[in-house]
Amino acid sequence: MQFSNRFIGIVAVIGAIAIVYGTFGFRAIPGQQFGSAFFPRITAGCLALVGVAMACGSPSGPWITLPDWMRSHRALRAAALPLGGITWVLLAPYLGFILATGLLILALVLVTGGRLLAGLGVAVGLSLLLHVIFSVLLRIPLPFGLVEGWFS
Amino acid sequence: MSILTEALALVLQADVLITVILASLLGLTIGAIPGLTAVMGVALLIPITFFMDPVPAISAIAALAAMAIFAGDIPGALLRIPGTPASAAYVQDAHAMAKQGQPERALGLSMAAACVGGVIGVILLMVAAPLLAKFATNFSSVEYFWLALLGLSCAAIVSTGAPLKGVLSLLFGLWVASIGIDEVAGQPRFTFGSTELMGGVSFIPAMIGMFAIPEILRNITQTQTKITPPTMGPVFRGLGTTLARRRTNLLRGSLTGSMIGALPGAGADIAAWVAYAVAKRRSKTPEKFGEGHDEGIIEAGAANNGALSSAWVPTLVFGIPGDSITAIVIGVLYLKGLEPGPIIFTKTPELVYAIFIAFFLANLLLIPFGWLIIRASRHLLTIKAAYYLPVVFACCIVGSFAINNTAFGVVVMLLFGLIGWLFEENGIPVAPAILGIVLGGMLEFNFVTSMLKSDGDLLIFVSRPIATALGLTVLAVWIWPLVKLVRIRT
Repeated sequence: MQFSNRFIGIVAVIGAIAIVYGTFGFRAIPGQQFGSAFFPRITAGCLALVGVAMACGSPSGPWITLPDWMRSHRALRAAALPLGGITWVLLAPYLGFILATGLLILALVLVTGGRLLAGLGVAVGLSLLLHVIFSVLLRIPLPFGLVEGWFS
Repeated sequence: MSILTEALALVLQADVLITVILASLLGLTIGAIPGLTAVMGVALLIPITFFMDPVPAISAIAALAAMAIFAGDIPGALLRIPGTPASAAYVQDAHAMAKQGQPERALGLSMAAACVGGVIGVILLMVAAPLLAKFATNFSSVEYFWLALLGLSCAAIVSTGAPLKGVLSLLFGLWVASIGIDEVAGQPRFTFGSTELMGGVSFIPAMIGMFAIPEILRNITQTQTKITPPTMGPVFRGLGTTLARRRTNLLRGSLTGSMIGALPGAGADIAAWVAYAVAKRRSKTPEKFGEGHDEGIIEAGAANNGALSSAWVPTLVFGIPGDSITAIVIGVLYLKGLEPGPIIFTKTPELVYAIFIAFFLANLLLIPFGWLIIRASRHLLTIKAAYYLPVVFACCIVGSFAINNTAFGVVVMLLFGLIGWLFEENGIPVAPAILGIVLGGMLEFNFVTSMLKSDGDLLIFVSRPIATALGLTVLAVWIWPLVKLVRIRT
């Protein structure tokens, strides 16, 4: 998804204004010239300058250009990634790490054109391996669920 | 001598050696798979190293990066798809050589060149870093402010195609660095009422997202074609003779790479392109370049690994990253309570020398492990993306979760992944944003400290000779693109 430089420049200027607006609530430090707002405002000032330079210095053209893959089934593959991540965040506390990760890997393998049996093997093997590395060896308390309950 | 012995004892521990071997194998696998880069490999390794002692953690990063940069030559030679950006400079020659029926020669040459380049880079690191550290002990917050600004400016302006987009990326990183409680005033900034953001944006999930997610998305949306890599002959046949004949290229590439790598903001890919250009200019047969000639492969292959090692010079001495990988390393050092800078050389010299030794080890391991991966590359390249990309994504999730044991890390990773993808789609480089996140705090802290010292007098920034010289260098870096623009228009 390509945006024109003009569009990026305008977004940068809006971002700069938002940053400056966000600094208005910062309290000043008594006796000090450079408080918490100083650096963000400098950053916003530079961002606004870059934004203006990009918006003014670019030739006119379409504001947004969609790549070919966005009009094909490959768009589903791309969407599956963030959707899979959000689903993992929502389900992992209930299903546990192994089941949630296994299901995520299997779903992504199938969406990206892999075979069910091979995907199942990869999903089971890798989710168990990651569990061993992080939970058993590195002792990180990963989300606990059904499968972990069988092991404990 | 006792420091060296102590450092050797630190490295020659079973756990360190096993970690190095495992990280090397992981690096080789990641580098050999088209589309997966060394930086992404390092990003994925960080959550694991987070829970290790400093020596195995840093050794693992060094080993993985060196192996992945070399292994990136494999898909480059066999499929004309550079495995890492550092392999792109000589991919044409390597692939042409493979098409002429000599894939093992192309890969053998790049393996040997990577080993020699890496070792020379480490020697430069060992010689230059302690000397510079001695010099840098006199630096104050003023010099550190200029150094941070120089590193950021180089990354945003010099090392990217479009300076304006590089600066945009950097400013985004600097804004992200300002999120959280301001250490000096205790003021929460841009936290939107979230307690999770009080400590700032977690660096590791953000970095994993920005480096790994765009790569996964790019690979997942590409049309998958069936790959049939060629068969491989003996790797070492005629290797010694060719290297002896091309020793000038080998040495010049190693030195060029080592020197470019030591510049803040420059990296292995720039080093490889420069070395390739130098090789072509100095060659007696420049017309053969691009048609399977060995000079470019040797010189640029040595340069990219040389740069990888020497990029640690500004990292360890000044805390200014030499490239994207060392930007990640700085984040890791801070997380481990080891502030990079000259003090690390006086406070824990054995640790610094252990890092040097680990680098030697990683570069020497390139030969046996490189041979192994060249032999196995036929099988690796035939693995379908549908099977390894979901696994890489699962690693991103577990790595982001593991840092703080919260799902918030996963959300941060996904959000920064989306931003990184939009950046890449629009030609905005990701590395300056990461450097901004890493160095933003240091830049602000040194500025405020200097202003407090001088009671608000800005002249403090040019009050010392080194500070003035650094300030002028920063100015030159900023003015350079404008001069170039004026030259083009006239």
